[in-house]
Amino acid sequence: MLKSSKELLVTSLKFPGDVLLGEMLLSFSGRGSLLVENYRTIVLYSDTLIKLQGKTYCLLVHGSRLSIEYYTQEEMKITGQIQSVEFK
Amino acid sequence: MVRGLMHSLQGTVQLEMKGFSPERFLNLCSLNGIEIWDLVYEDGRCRLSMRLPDFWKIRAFARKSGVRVKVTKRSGLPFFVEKNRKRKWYLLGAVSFFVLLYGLSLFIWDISFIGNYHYTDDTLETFLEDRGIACGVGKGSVDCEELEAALRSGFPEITWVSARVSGTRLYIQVKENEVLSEIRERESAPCNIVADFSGTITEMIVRSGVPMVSVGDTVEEGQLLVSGVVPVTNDNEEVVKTNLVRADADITARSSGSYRQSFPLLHFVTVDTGKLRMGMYFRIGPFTARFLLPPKAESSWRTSSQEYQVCLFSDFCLPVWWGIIRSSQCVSYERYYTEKELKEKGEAIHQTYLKNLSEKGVHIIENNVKILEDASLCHVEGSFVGEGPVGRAEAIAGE
Repeated sequence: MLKSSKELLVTSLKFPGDVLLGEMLLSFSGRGSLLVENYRTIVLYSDTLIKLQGKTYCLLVHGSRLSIEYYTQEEMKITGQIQSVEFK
Repeated sequence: MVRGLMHSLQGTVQLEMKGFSPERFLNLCSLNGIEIWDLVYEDGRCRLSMRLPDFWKIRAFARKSGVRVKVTKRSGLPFFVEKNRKRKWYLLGAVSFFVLLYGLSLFIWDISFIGNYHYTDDTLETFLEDRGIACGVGKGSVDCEELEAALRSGFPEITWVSARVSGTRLYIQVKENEVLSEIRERESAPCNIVADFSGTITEMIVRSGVPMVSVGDTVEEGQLLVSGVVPVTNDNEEVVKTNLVRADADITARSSGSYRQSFPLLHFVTVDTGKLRMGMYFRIGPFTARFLLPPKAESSWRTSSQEYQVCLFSDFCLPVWWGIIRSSQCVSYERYYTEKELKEKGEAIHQTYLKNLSEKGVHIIENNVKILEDASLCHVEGSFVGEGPVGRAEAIAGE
């Protein structure tokens, strides 16, 4: 697959992808906590699924008893029993 | 912690939200900088918390996203004030508390000494009390520079002092002189050296004067060892004149000695019975309130207490002390020492005697101890052979 010129520039110059490409940053603490940075909006929220819109794709967090400990425009902390994470 | 404090000051509300598009509501809040936390989904409803000032902004967002919002819990200062606005005594009590706290903060309630080894805390406290500085004096009346100067002049061994007031505590940090502050002047008056105990000379180094004994001689107490009268002779060995000098020598003698000490066989023993009474006491300035149940019957109790000062923060001490009282019942009776105890006590007396001799510079070569008993007393008879410095200065007769 051909990479876009922007991706090539980021790869060759070793720039962080989240700054130039707007990639989401995910930080897990075991399976009980997930910190998501660089998301755009909340698409869907329930106690078993949280769907977040990124710049180019959606992030789906599946689990049980999911709750949002806090969220701001830049980051969101999800807690609960996380079972899987999916990109669409 | 700061965030939590700010939330409490501004007031927070917990909301329950349900409706067409809660996600849109959350996104609208996020875009408008409304802080939301503890978002939980339960039975088709969302529970969330936000600050009270933000709550007044969300009406339009709720209408746009088609959700209904219900307040389920209120907390924080604005709600507390609203709830208690008619309780005037409550407010008066709170105001009085802060006024009292401010009043107490104007005085010194604790004095801490740091770095003093030679002078005890009590000595320094007494010195400060004489100058009118004690617990309870106003902070304004403490002149730290003057206090430092007074401590330096009052205690010559203190070479450096720092006094500072922090909160309601006065810190006094001192550095003491670690070397001798004065060197004793050597005496120069002419004198002899005489034996201060009987023994056999084992070593002798004479620096000044005429030796009157030699190594191996047996000397008696008071015998002349080194004479301060130095004769000057001519070629015919006749004494022309005499010079008086201060005799100076290092003389070691071996001697033997004995001692006898007695102690009664009966002695008092105090034993705890296991019964314990615990209590507390509070002291505010000179007034003390003690909470300790009285004993049921006439008996002996051994009481100890541990005192603590109440401090709001590390340096904000208050004139309030509290303590735990521990009182244990005890019984005293008279009994004889056991064989083992007698032996241990006798050995301890002998070791103390030998230690005292060693501190005087006597090197113990041989020692023996006998522990004897009679009807009511125990006798410790000890003997030793030791080597130690002999000789004391004595003025020359007829000078």
